[in-house]
Amino acid sequence: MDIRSQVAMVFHLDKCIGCHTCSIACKNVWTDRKGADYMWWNNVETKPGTGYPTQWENQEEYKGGWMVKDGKLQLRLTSKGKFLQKIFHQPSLPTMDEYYEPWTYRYEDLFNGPEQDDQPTAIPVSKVTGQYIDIEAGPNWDDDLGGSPLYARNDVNLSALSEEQRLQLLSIETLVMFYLPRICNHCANPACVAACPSGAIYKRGEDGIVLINQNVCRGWRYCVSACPYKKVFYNWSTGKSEKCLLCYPRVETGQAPACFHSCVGRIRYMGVLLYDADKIEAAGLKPDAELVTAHRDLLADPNDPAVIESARKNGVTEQVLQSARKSPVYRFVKDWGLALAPHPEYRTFPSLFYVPALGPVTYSMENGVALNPTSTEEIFAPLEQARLPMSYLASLFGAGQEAPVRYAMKKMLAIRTWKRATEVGDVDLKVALAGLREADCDPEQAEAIYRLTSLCSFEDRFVIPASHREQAVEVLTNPLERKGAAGFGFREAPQRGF
Amino acid sequence: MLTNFLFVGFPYVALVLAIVVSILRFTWRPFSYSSLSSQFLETESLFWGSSLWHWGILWVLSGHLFAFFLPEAILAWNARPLRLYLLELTGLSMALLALVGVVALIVRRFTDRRVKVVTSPLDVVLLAVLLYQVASGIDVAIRYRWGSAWFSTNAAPYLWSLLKLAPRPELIAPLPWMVKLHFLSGFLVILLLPFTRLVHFLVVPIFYYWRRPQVVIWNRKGLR
Amino acid sequence: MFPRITPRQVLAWAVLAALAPMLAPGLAAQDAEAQFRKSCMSCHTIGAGRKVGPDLKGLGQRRPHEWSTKFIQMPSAQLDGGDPTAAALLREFNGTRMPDLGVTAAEAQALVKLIDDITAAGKTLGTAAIARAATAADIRQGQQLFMGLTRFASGAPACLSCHSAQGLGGFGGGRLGPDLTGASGKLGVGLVSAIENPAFPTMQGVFQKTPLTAEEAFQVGSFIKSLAAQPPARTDMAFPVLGIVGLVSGMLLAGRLGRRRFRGLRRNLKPRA
Repeated sequence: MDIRSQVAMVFHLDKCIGCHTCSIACKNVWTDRKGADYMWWNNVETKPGTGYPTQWENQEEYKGGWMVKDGKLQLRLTSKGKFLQKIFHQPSLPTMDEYYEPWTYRYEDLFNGPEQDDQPTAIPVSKVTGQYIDIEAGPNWDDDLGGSPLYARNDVNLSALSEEQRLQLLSIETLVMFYLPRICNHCANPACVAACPSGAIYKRGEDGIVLINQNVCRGWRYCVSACPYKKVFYNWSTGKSEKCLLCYPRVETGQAPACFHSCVGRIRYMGVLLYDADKIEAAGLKPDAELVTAHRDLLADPNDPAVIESARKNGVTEQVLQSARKSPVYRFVKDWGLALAPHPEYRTFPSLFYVPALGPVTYSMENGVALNPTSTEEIFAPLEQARLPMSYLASLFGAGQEAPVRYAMKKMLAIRTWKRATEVGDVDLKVALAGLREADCDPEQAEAIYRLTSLCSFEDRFVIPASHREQAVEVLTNPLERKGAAGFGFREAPQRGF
Repeated sequence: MLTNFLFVGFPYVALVLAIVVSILRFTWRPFSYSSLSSQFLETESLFWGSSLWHWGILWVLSGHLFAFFLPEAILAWNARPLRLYLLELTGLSMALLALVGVVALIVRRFTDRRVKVVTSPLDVVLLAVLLYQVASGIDVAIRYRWGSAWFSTNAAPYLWSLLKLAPRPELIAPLPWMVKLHFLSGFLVILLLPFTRLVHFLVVPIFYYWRRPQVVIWNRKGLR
Repeated sequence: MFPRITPRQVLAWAVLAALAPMLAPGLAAQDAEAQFRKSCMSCHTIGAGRKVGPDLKGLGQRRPHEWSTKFIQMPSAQLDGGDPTAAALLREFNGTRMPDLGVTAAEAQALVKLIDDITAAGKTLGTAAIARAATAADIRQGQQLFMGLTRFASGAPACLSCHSAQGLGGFGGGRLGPDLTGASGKLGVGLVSAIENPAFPTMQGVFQKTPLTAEEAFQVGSFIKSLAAQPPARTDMAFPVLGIVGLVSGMLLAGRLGRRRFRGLRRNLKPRA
């Protein structure tokens, strides 16, 4: 038993309104630099859609994640023996064309244009070359199903659907979409860490945040391809790779990351998860059908004395253990079974879990009166009648298994009905209760879920133990010794080359 | 006088600078050690340029290094003319590959609009010197051929004499000028090494072969 | 660290440092006998008979010192300047010109003194040429040695490494040095001693350490002499052409190995129904 703590996350997709405030927050804090302009460490995709970079879920082409080969876990990208042969030209590297070429507009032309007959225009210019650019793509080019014959219809997850389901999904009367905000998942078994030839990427022991040491990175660019979620980005100006830091300077002081803090829909939860590192390899070797369960089994009960003892041996502090006991993430993932990891079949064991979008309420009406469910069959009918087929969500969250998705959706439907019964009163309490039971729930749990989903405060959503890293730094160096310094980061500017 | 400058002074300065500046740069400017890969900006012509260049030049350089460390072995191998021809032919093919590669890289660097933007003046200088080095090497290999033999007899002892701090420039001073220029631009590459992106070959990640896949670093415990 | 020292400054100092050895004195004046062995012995002896050039024993008695010193320094001055002694010598020795060997005035004086000293002491310097006639076996052995099929006793490199000649198989010989097919015509009697004690600067670095024996030199000389009537070896294009064949195969191989590389996805997306 090798218990470590991980700062973990839950995104509740029912609450995401696709406003992209999270993306802008991260962009303004971290990635508005030359070379990082095309990076969106946080991006929001529309599903069905191809996402950013285009069709990132297509591991046949992009070669991300792990696979089981001869009973062992191996990176899909390359084996250890062959990696050096590909170092001169990494054969699976996506280029800027797969993301987009960042651009801006020549606004000065509006003011400084010469006298002319026509109005001055601000032409789009590339932020890479500074020259006129014919805009072909952006970071959310297919937002809200834009260009769906080209993008939404090439969604990799659609291959899990039957032909009929696909046609129905994308015909205008039965359109459906939801938003999928994505950041680095700070996985328990990161492929990026394993792929870096110079060992520049590492996972921090105390909080599980995965970072890239900018002084060690040599730009071999294996990590970019190895990450199956494509959340490691190559900085074309400095020649180094960068990725989401989970705003570790904020997390270390107990604050939520910028994207979490700024989320308008308040969909984001952050809490501590304790996990057993010894079980990771065995879990990775399980067949696809067992991956969701294997991942959940990695997570340890913070109230179990054996777990607490092992954690203490690893140096996990009391503060962290206390946070683990109050962790909203643990409740969503382990206690309630509502939150699922994206694409478990990549075998990286993400620390970010999604509560699948339940979708709009479906009702029948008769003579202007809503027909409420009168039996459990009627409660759960919307599941099968949903515009978004279960197989789509299974492909996205269940490694092809519908059972865990169905469990989560059933529970949420049951709770919705239960709350209707208790708050509005036009659903029979007995029926609602029966529905709860069928969904493996009870009124107490339903209430807890309701509070944490709908009535949660900042402190409910973010239970982050401060690690007071500044105290560790102060032991070694005086952060104020250079006037104007903040005590962190480089002493020289990160400039390209010598 | 000129001989002393070119074949004693200049090589020593190049070697010392290459070693000292590389080490200092690694210690105090580790951020600057990067391959500065531009594959993200353009990948298709880089495949031809980089693959051909690197495979070709590594083969050729290994040959030079082998002849430097074991000149007697080369002479023994060359004792049979057929083996000599085979060695020279392999070297020539590899050098031609490297030539095609470096030309492709140069063309790419000046014509692709994205790659142009990330090109520094020293990059251009380095490419020019490397192109000259490969081209002159091919010229020498053809025009003054069986270089594997006279490298082992003349150049290897000269290089060793430099390292033993008892330089014997008279060993290569009488060679044709094309050969001497090839030597000199070789030392120019060594001189340029710590000031350009060439440092990336000093940090080739051979350690990856035996590194365990996951890297977990604890603040208090270091690498665990 | 070094906040005020820029890479440009380092380069500037480096250039200055590299110029420093220019101030060093030239290659130390060698002792006269070593120089005789290096520069003179291929064509002259002192007291062992004539070779390419005359036996130098008693030079001091035959010619004025001043003339000898000037001649050693730059023979071309006398040979082309119409000096009658030089012209007579040229006729006597088959029109073989003594080459300018870059000997300084001081070195020439030392050499003249050396010749006087050895003459006075009654010693000899240099070996006499082997006088017997070459046999077919000598010629065959010479060819083996030339091509490297038989290695020289001292481990010296084969002549093929730098020289070509007619009658060598395959791609032919090296081209660092001149083609030797007509060498016996040029050097005449001095061919064998030129092989045994080469005065050519490029060869000296090698053959001082690993010289040929007199017998080996004779055999190689015999082989070369046997080629005398033939035209020089043709310059062949086989080597570069085969190199290009290697290049094309290499490129084809590279293309094949990289055939499954990523070639772009977004731009290749096709609209689907």
